[in-house]
Amino acid sequence: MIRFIARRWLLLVFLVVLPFVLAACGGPPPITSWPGYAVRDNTAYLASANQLIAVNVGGDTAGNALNGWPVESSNASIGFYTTPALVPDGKTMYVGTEQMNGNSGQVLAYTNIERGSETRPSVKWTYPLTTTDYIPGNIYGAMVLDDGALYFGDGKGVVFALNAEDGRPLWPEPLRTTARIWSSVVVDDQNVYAASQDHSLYAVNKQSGKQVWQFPGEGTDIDALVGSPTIYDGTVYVGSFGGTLYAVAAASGQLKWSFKAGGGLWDGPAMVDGTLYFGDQAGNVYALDAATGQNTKWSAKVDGGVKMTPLVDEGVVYVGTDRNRLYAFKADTGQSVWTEPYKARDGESLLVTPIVNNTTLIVLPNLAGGNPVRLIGLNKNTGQELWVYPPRQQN
Amino acid sequence: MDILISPLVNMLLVFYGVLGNSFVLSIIVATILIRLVTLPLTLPQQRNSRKMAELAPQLEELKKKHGNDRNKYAQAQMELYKENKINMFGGCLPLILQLVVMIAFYQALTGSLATTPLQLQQLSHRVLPALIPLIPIDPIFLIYDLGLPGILPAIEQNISPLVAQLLIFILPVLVVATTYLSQKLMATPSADPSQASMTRQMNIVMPLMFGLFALQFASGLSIYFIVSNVVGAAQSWLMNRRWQQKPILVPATGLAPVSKASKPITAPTTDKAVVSSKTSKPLKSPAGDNGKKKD
Repeated sequence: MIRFIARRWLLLVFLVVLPFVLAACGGPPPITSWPGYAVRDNTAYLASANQLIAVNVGGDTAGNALNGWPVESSNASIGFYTTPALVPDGKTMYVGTEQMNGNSGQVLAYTNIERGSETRPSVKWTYPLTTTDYIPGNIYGAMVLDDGALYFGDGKGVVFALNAEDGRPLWPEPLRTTARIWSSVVVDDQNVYAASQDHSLYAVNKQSGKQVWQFPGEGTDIDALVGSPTIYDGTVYVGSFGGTLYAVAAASGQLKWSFKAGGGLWDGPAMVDGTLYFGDQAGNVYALDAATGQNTKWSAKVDGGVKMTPLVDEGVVYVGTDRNRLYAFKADTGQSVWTEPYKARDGESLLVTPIVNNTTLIVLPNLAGGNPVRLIGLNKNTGQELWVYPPRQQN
Repeated sequence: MDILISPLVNMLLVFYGVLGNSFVLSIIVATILIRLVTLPLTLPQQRNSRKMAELAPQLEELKKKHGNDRNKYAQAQMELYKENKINMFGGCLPLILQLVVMIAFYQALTGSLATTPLQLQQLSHRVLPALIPLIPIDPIFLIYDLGLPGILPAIEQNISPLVAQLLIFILPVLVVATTYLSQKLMATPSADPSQASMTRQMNIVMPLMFGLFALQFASGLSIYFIVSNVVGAAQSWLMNRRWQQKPILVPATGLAPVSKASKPITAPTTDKAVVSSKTSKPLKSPAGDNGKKKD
């Protein structure tokens, strides 16, 4: 009898545990963060999961964390997705946070972040400063530092501006769009440009915070804008989830041209010498005439979808995919530079634009299955690994 | 699991588009559809349970016959089940499959709402091109974000903590209540005291467990639980009514069949063990003396 009851209870326990097991096993491998990073003075500052890490990316000790790092968020449920913004003096860094299973973020200013600092990084200020301040939604886009101001969008669809010195809001009222903003904003001399998932691109006056224009105008609908726009020579480029690249005049918000790609678009194109370079989620990479949007100079097929803005450096286009491949194409012809694409670990995605530091190409894969964040230094000419953070013995 | 999630994601998006961009309606319609599609799994399970319940008097008889010889009793029990075409595992496998569907639905639900950039990234691989204009989905339903647990932070911040807690508990309480109702109607009485006790415990533990899920997971899952439970309860109620009028079992053995007249099992609206002199009475009747063939 006891055995019978025990068996029944085992069945019950099994049924209770099963959903959790299946929930953990189901679906694609979980990626637990979408990290961001910025590089200054041979140091890469990573914001990943609930840690901020400073890694040496130059010299013999490349691939090692600096002393005093990582810095952990105040709470395990608070994470970092944003690309940090670094002050030119290299002593201060700004990051946004996101709350897991929630929608509230903070902006943190850290000081003493520089290499050789005698004290550990510390929080200079945290926005919201007071309980009456506007509480941002999750902040996933980069902090954009421009002329003493920090600009960003949030998960509640708000475009915001803070004084970088003390965190005070710069505008009387933030600009509210009608859906979340997960991408980074871009700025020029006049405006801040934000792509909202309410299917619109907004231009906001930098001084007043007032809306200057909204693209498209009333009566026209486009697909959601999930990735970050880019801006070159008075034109804002933004791609839609449905796969159309729009070139919009920064001054007026008028459409200059549009280009239909073979798959959905995430982050905007890079532009060098009048050519736009971008990829789509169907695994196509394009080189497009920026003036007309009509003449495809070349296109290439890659393994996996492209979410990042490609990096163009010394005539080479570097572009990563969500299937852990990184490609190097000649910017003028589209021919491969490396003998084969660099392959990160299985399960990793390359969603963040690489950064060149001297002759090293620094790559930040997305976390795979809860593994610790990695930062990889590649020889930019060959695609060979030079170093990896964390170093192999700790990896 | 992916093979289930992608079609479910697209189904949710289609319903969202057709039903005036209301995701809660999309969840409700999709849940009803899932219940209909899984009917071939749930119905045999219910029939199986009902058959076992109807055989309870015979099992009681066998127990008396074989006394403490558990092996012989188990053998006779197996034969009885075999003769009445009862699958011993019939109750377990459909339950596991339903759990798999539930988990896939949960993942489809949170995946469709894509509450983080990573989920949106994954959604981009699942969604059909024609449905892309519907993205992002509006996740708001009354005071809930269907992709997140709890109530909307904007509302939570503007009300007292006590009221916020009360509002947070509305959906979990509904989940507990409907799960209890559904379990209660689905449970078939058992002659075996240990099994009856187990059923009673399940009827308490399962609703509480699902209530806990409702607290911790996206509120859209609570909507799924509530609708699924209501549909399941309605299904059980209808089937119970039908089986009350027309018991399932056909007398196939030398043991006493179950007859209309004897009504060994009444409507299974109670989870208490049905081992009474009243229910076991007809077993004393010789086989076939009142054994009209049952459908």
